Amino acid sequence: MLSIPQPQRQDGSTVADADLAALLAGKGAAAELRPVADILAALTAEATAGELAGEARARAEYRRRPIVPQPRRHARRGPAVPAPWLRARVAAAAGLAVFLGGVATAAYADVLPAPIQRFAHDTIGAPDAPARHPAAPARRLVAPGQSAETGGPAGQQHSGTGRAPSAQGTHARASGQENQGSGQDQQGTGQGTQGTGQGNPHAAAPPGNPHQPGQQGNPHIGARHPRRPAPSGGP
Amino acid sequence: MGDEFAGLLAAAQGGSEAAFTRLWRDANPALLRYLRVIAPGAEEDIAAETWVQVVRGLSAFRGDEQAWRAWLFTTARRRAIDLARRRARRPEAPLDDVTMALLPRTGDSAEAAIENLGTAAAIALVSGLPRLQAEVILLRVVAGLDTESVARLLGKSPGAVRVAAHRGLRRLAEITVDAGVTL
Repeated sequence: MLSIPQPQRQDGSTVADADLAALLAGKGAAAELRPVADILAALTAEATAGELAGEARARAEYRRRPIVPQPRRHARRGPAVPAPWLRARVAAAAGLAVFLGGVATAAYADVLPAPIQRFAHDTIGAPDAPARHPAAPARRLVAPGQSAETGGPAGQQHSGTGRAPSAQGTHARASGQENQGSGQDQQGTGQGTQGTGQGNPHAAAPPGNPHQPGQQGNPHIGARHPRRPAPSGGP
Repeated sequence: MGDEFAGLLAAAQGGSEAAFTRLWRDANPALLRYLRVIAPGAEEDIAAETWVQVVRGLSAFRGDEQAWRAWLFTTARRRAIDLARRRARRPEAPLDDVTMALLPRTGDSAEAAIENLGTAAAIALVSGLPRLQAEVILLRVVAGLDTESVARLLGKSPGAVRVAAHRGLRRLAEITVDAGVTL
């Protein structure tokens, strides 16, 4: 409990809290509190001229106040909608992007027609078209049975390599193994090519080339021309 | 202002300078009297700064007369606190001396103040109270705020505000008794 020193009334009693509350509420004051009531009344007296001297300054500030624009009833806007011509352009651009992406994918999958595939090969580095190699028709001339006779394992290996770039390494490795292990076959293959007289430029190894038979197993032989048909022996 | 307040506020918010002037005339004297106690010597400047801020936020204000006055005095008090901090960093004048010069230090001066009781003398008497008691009495009596509003403004509990008010009034009563004033 708070112990507040209470001023003595003139008759020796103290000021009661109720009297103070009444004083604050402006409900009149006991006789001993009249001086305090007068003080409070003086605090709330009429304004003096000095206290109203700043009116002009306040009014000027009021006139300079920022004008807050009132919200217009019909000014509400929804989300921005592009114009029809812009939408058409965006749709066309999106369609073109999808088309080009599909073409590029097809080019790298090597499933495009030969002219387009060659164009893709020249422009974006897609695999080349098989028709570029003039030896391709020669492969069609090879009878299934002759491949085993003339080319032996080499012919089988080359004919089995795919056109996809991923198959090149396999081809090269196989080719190398093949060269290491079957110099005779290579030699025989070269002779067969010469015998056809088709002048296959890729059949660079002359008959009896000391580099060919089982010497290196050089993977570049196959890798340099991944789609080159095996120099099969001629008929 | 009573029932007039809502209409005056709406008119002032709508651009009526006359309505704003009525509001200003009603509140500015009380504002200055409060500031004379908590920021003596700077009351005019702080009051002007307060009105600048009030004018800027006038259109967004929502509330009754009690809230209006609480807003005014809260703004003024913050400006006064800011000024005190600036002066504390760069003291320019012995503020305490100015304050004490206004206070009745002896019984004779208190008696003289009461005998010539006017607003300035009453403010000088209240200024002699401890800061919290003086502020509570001014906000309750001059600003016309209720206990809860004063508590929020000062960051005190309503109970602490009541205690401070009663202590301040008792102290004022002691001063008048000590001065031997009988009215």
